[in-house]
Amino acid sequence: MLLELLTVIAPVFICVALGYGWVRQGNPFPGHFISNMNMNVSVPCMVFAGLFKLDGQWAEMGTVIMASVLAIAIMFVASLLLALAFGRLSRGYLIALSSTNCGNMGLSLCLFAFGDAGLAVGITYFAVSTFLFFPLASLIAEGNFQLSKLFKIPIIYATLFAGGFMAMGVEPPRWLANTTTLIGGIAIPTMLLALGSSLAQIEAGQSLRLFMLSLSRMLLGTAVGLAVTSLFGLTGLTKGVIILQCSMPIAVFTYLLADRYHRQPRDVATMVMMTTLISIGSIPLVLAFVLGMEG
Amino acid sequence: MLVELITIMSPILLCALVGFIWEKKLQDYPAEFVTRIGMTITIPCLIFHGLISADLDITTLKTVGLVAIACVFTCMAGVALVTHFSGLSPRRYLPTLSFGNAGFLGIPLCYFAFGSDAATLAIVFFFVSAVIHMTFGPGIASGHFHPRRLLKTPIVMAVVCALPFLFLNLPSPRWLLNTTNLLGQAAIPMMLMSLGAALADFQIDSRKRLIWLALFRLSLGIIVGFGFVWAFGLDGLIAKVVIIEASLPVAIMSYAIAEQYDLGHKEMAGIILVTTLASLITIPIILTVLQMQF
Repeated sequence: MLLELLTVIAPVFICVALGYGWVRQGNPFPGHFISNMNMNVSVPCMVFAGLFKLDGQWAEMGTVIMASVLAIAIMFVASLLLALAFGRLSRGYLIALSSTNCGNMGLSLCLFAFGDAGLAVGITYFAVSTFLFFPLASLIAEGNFQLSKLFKIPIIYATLFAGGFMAMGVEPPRWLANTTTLIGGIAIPTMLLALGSSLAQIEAGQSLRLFMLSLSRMLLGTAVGLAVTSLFGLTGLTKGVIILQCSMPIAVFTYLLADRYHRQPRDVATMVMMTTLISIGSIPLVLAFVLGMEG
Repeated sequence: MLVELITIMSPILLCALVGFIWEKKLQDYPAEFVTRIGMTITIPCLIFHGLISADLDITTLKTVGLVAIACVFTCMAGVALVTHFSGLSPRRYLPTLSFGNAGFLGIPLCYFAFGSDAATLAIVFFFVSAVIHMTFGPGIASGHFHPRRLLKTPIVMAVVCALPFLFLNLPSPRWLLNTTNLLGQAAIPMMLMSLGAALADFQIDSRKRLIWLALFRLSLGIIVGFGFVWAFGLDGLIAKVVIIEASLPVAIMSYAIAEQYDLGHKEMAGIILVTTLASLITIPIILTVLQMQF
């Protein structure tokens, strides 16, 4: 069991550590370029190619989407209450607490824990989150959000495009599958390296209060995952993936939003750092649970 | 056949096109960063993962390695002959013109055309070619050789680390396979984008000599590849990989060497561009021949 956990977790934390070490060694890391390239090119390719590896799980697709929507909604309300309980209800706290790092970290864990089919389910959650949570977080941070912006997110098109093929029951032509697989290969490793490099650059403070909040948020995430999956009666791989995705630490992009619009960036940075550090301990536990449940 | 060719070629072309358009439009492609992270992290991971996850026996890997050495040195000899008889500077052309793009074009070509075993053989060929290029390229260009420094490069270390797994048949731990696979899969698409971005930036010095040198280089590679396959009586997968790897356009690394040692990098840019464009014609022909012949 321990070895199996290592197989899943090592790639993720080694990549993050490499990104962290790269920046700490004084090497330049063009984070802006990497995130631009990923959001516009490689992540859409990965989403497109990955969704086709969903074989056998077609029927559950609708359920996965609904479960993801519900998980994200509950997470939002619960975070609101959590922030209120800690007397820190503000925009920065709200977007940070309700976010999950379901992209880089979540997807690679889904892939190594459950294989290509797990990755496909993980991508579905990620796509729903991009569609719902990303605009919501921008709206809260910025104060307004133009709906037209939603249609400028290439991931949305990749999802719709893949959905189109699926609805028609057609496999994409091999040249397209090969191309998107090749380019999509950039996404996860560079996002993990970028996560490490961001962690090396953000200035995290120390505060017991924020630590308690971070800890509560991590417990809350897993609880939401458990609640939603049992509500929908999910089992096996889909259950495991949704619980994993809900148990992820706070997403780094919320720090970028908080920083740009001056929504308590320092506290958000601290919480990103703290939840990520907590995840080193909590992810193995969650994984042991979901893998044990399956096997 | 046409569909097959499109399936093989389009991932590579489109990936390079992304880099090309990116650099043309935004002009912020961080080529230096991509090369650096490639040389230190992603390419060593690709090589290591390719070698230890291979389903091939050691003899096959060794054969490809030896043929690769023969091909690369023969190409160098060919270039040396031409510079000798035409009065061109060998210091300028030997370290640059002799080396093909065995890595970022060769590996995906072999993978999409012949599958993952072919990609592993292409990795071996690429490794040999890259090591010779890194040893002799700057060595000839500058006149100083640093073999010890070469041993410390991550690419060579990746192979050294893979050797115990290959020769002692040690079971490769899955966590290591997963990690190197994850990081290694970023190597080729990123370097292809760099190739596209570099082509977008090239300032070309258009002289007739350049076209001749480019055509000479491309035909030399093709002749050497087919020649050694015939001379050694190779067949099957090895023959296909050797022919593809030998017939590729000039490596982008040659541009870096030409620039660093002031060996006419504008002309080298032109040669790389011309050989790369010409390979759009030669590679489909070679693939078709390989499909029918081997």
